[in-house]
Amino acid sequence: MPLITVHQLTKEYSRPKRVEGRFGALRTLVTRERETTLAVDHIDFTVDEGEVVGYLGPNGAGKSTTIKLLTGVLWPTSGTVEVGGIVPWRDRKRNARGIGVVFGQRSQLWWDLPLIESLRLVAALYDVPAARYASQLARLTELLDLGEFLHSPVRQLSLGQRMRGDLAAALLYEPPVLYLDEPTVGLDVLAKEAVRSFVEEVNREGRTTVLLTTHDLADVERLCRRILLIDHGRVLYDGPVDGLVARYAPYQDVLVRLDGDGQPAGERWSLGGFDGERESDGRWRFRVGRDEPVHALLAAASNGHQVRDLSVVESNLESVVRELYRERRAG
Amino acid sequence: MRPYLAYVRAAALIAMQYRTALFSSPVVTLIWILVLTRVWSQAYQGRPVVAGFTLQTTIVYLTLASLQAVVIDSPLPFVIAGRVRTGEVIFDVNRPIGFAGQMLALQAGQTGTQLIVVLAAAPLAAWIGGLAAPAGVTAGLLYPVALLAGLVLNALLGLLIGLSAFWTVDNWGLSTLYRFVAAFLAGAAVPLTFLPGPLRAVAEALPFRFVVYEPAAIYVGQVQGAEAVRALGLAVLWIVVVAGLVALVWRRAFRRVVIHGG
Repeated sequence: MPLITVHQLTKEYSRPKRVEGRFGALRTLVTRERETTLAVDHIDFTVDEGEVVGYLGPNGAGKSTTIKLLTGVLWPTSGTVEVGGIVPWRDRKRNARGIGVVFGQRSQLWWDLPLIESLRLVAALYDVPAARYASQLARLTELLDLGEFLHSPVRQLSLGQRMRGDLAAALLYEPPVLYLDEPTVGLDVLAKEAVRSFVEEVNREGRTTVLLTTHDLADVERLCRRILLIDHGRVLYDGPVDGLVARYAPYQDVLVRLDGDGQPAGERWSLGGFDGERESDGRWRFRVGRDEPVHALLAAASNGHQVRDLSVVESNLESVVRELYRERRAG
Repeated sequence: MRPYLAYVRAAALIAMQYRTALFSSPVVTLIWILVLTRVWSQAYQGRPVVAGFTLQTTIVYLTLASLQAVVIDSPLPFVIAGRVRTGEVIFDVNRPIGFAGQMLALQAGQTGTQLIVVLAAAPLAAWIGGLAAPAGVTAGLLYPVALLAGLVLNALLGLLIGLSAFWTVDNWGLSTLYRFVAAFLAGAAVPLTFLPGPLRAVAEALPFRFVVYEPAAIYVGQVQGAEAVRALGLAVLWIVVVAGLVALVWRRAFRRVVIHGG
């Protein structure tokens, strides 16, 4: 029995159609024509308890809309969602008790108050008993290293500190589900690492189920065994990270740099049955399928050419996503 | 109750963070009271009574109105607009208690803090010559009740205006206009009996007068007896009506809630 069930979820935004031309702004105000955008288009997926699922897609793919629907702050156009048996938008307040939400781009902490006051407010809101609050605060302070800024006003915190504060606020009442919307955006390497190891820890220790959206694929590689890839509001892929690479990038790139005068002219070079393209740094890039032998290319390259260096680049999640985004731009 | 008290506490802490703002408004108000005691003595030109008010009651009325104006200042329209604009409202609507309740608790915290500061400034206002004892025991007992009703009504009206941010994104213009019009029609500038007939009829028909005029007029004895009880009853009626409106508008606001930003 999955913890989160999403069935045929659809959200259409509708707004007055913009009128171009003379007095366009005024005519927009009175127009009755509306244009609709389909942000989420008949999405289906389930998440089991204890999973960490990466929810990926380019900007504007429908990720945030899905998160808003899951938290219950948006009403869908059609379809259903159940989170722990609750339909979020019908029973928003009850749903709120069972979920923690962190948005990298905004904060639930009170700007003017010391961090500890925001945590106190959250504890009161979710009716965390005093003893439970004390032990949770101690645990989160240790895990997230909050000690040195617990009593500083939030407006004085660095982005990394603020994000740690937000994570603490979201988990203070021990929700079984955690939605993370770009939690590492804008953070430095160390701060990102702090966020990742914290999420890893709460998932392992507390069996917290996590749905994570991010553009930093290192987050996904570190935390998620499974990813959902969406674009134009539709699920393109739902499965393990490895499977995605195998399906969308079943190749590796071999980069060859030649020495001496034996440089072929032009931008393309056919070698041993493989087509190469000249990179801007002068290297040649050959794409070799996973089921094709690399040695055929190596043999052809060393035959009559002075190979200065050669490297094999495995395709990974990033190359997949780059490929997908490129297709999207072209399409 | 615990969640609401936590909001009250947070709002009080925020108000105390900005001490300059907290203390400057009573100081400005005291200066204003000093001015009005002198100006109105001149304006009366020896006449005993104008529009039902003696010079003394006008001065006490306006002093009370000025002090109340410090307390009734509602930050809600600006707070809500800010939270809608930044998308932070997504956290507010994702709480186990309702949005309206959160906002009213915030208002209560701010009002409570300001009330303490104003109570501390009241003896100074009396010393300047703007304040006198209430018109009688009944007036003294009814005043805090009427004031409380006024504060509740004011908070609900501020919330109602604030909810407009869900439609317009930016409600600065509306909030500023509201502040000015509501204060005037509440009787913060002059007692409502001073207004010309049509304007007075407008003020009488609207709820704002219960925020400033009625409590202050009860205090100085201008409104008393059955009339005072009737005013209190009407204030409570308005509270029910505006609370209903808030609930209605909130339901629509939430249905069309758009959380800004990706």
